[in-house]
Amino acid sequence: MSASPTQTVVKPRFSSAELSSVAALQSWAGEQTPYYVRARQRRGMAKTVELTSAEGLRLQLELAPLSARFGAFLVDLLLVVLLTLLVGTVAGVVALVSPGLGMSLAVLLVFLVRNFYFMFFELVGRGRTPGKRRFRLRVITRDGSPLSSEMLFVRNVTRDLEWFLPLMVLLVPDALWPSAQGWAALLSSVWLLGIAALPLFTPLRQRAGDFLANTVVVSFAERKFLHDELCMGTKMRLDKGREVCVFTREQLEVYGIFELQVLEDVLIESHAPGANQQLMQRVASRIKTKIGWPREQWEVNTWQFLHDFYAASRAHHEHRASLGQRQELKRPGLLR
Amino acid sequence: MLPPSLELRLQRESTWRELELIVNKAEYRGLEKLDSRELARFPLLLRTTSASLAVARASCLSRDVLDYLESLVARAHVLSNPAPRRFGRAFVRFLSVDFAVAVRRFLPHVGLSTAIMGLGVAVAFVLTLQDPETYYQLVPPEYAGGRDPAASTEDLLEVLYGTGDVEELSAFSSFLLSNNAKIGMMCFALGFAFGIPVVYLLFTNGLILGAFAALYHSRGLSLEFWAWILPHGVTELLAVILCGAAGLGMAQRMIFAQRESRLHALARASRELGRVVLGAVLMFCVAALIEGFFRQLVHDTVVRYTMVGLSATVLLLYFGMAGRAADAARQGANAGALG
Repeated sequence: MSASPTQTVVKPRFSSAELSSVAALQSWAGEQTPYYVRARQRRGMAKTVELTSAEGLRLQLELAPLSARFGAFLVDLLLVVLLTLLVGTVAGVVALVSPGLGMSLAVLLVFLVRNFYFMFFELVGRGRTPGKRRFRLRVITRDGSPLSSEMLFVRNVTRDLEWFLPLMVLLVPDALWPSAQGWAALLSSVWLLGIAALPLFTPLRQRAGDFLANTVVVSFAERKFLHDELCMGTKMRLDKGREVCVFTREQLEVYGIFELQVLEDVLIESHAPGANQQLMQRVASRIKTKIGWPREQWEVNTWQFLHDFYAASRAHHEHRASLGQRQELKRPGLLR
Repeated sequence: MLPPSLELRLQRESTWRELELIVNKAEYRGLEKLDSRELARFPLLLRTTSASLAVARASCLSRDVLDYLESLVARAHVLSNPAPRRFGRAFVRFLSVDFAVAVRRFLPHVGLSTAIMGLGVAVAFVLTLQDPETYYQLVPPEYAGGRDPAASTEDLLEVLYGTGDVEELSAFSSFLLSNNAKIGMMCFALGFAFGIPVVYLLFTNGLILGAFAALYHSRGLSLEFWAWILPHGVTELLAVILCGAAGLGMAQRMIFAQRESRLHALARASRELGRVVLGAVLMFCVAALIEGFFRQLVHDTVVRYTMVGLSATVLLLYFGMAGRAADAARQGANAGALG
């Protein structure tokens, strides 16, 4: 800091000892987590599954949303129907020669298509049927072992129980339990519907078949891109000996890691074409007010100020974190 | 002034980008389509990037970098999982070893399931012989297809020798196949209702068979009846019994889940027993072929009984012998690894 050209010292309202006291940290880390932090953490049920890689890293894989799984199922269902039609045509041609043979062939092939479509494609496509491929989903085992044929068989053999029987319950309830008492039919129906609705309740969104085979369906639909490094401008200005904004420790500790990452999001978006420059202005003046930025430097370039502030606070918080003093959240009050 | 983690990114970003390109390609076109250079680079890049991720988690506060690395390593890790066996090879391996070994492990369940079905046959046989009217309660009319106590002996004989439309009958047997296999798979899938539906299905299946047998017995056609049903029945009934055994095994593991949670015990059992059911479904297919073609073409009782003996011998030999050597070798290897 002393090497920087513009040295700014702001008299803090609180001493740093006061600010970093254990009591202050505890009060912020505990039940007083601000609403905006909780809102960001609360994005539905926990939606990742943890795997351990060969290097011993714990990886979080995103679970497939039920909507995507349903979509993939519909695509596959469509393909099953098309395949059945194709097979039917082939059998029809055979039937022109020998009606009996054609008929048996049709029934046999339709049986195979209907029961082994999912298993075959999940085995050949490493856990991806054409429908899952379309939605970027994949079946994986929970323990990291390779998918085996009996696993995939088990996973898909329960599909009938989970789809067609509940559908019958909903559409033609009388056909399923022709001779049962009213209460028995009701109980069985509720039981079947409960099994079908399992993925709504299970923590990893597993179907009954997933439970039996110990598999989960994960999604790779959301692409994470690596954006431009935000510290590069500051680094270049430093390398060329140009002016950079310099902040005191107290100023950097006004905000915590959470706010640092929010600022990162804002800056990344500001790099996109057509970004809202007004927003940048407002963010900058908000920060300046909050950290007690001196009036005589108020007119410094907004873009440069925000990037320098980002680089400096990231450097500061990374340094603190490496010493075991992570500051997750901002501190109350203004520095003036 | 500059974050320490900036250095990590400046030095390693090219590695990450290279891995990302390979992963994109492999996800889109399959790992097999990578060229040899990419294939050789892939594990190296994955290891380096995993190391970057570990460092970044400990020191980097940039969410952009962290999220990117997390997602990249996860994608690469899933790709690098060992591939399942090739479909053809998996199939051969399944038939030559896995199926028979799995069945041998569940012999007591097979015995119990046979006993339940046998009980059903015996009960229906005795009841129907005493009072032919019971037949109507035991056999659903869609199964009977005119074969009931009211039919004349000639009509019953005609069914056995298929003097009707041969091709129509073979289509009917194909229908039976998908029906039987469906029931077999249902038996297994219902295992997690504590086995009650399984016992019910096995018993009622036995009842139908027993009622038929009693009907033909009362007309003195027992010999011809069994010659008609057993050539494919040996395979088909055994398949039903295996499915039942699988359902019973599931129920047992679920009720007596020893040190595991019930769900875990059930899941583990289902993977072992899934093999048994998968094999049984294949047996249903074989049975349907025998039924569809052999039975309609061969009408000689002696030849039919030869077929019964032949298929029984083949099945006995298969379940007795297949995969013993491979299984012993595998257990030896496991013991060696432990010792």
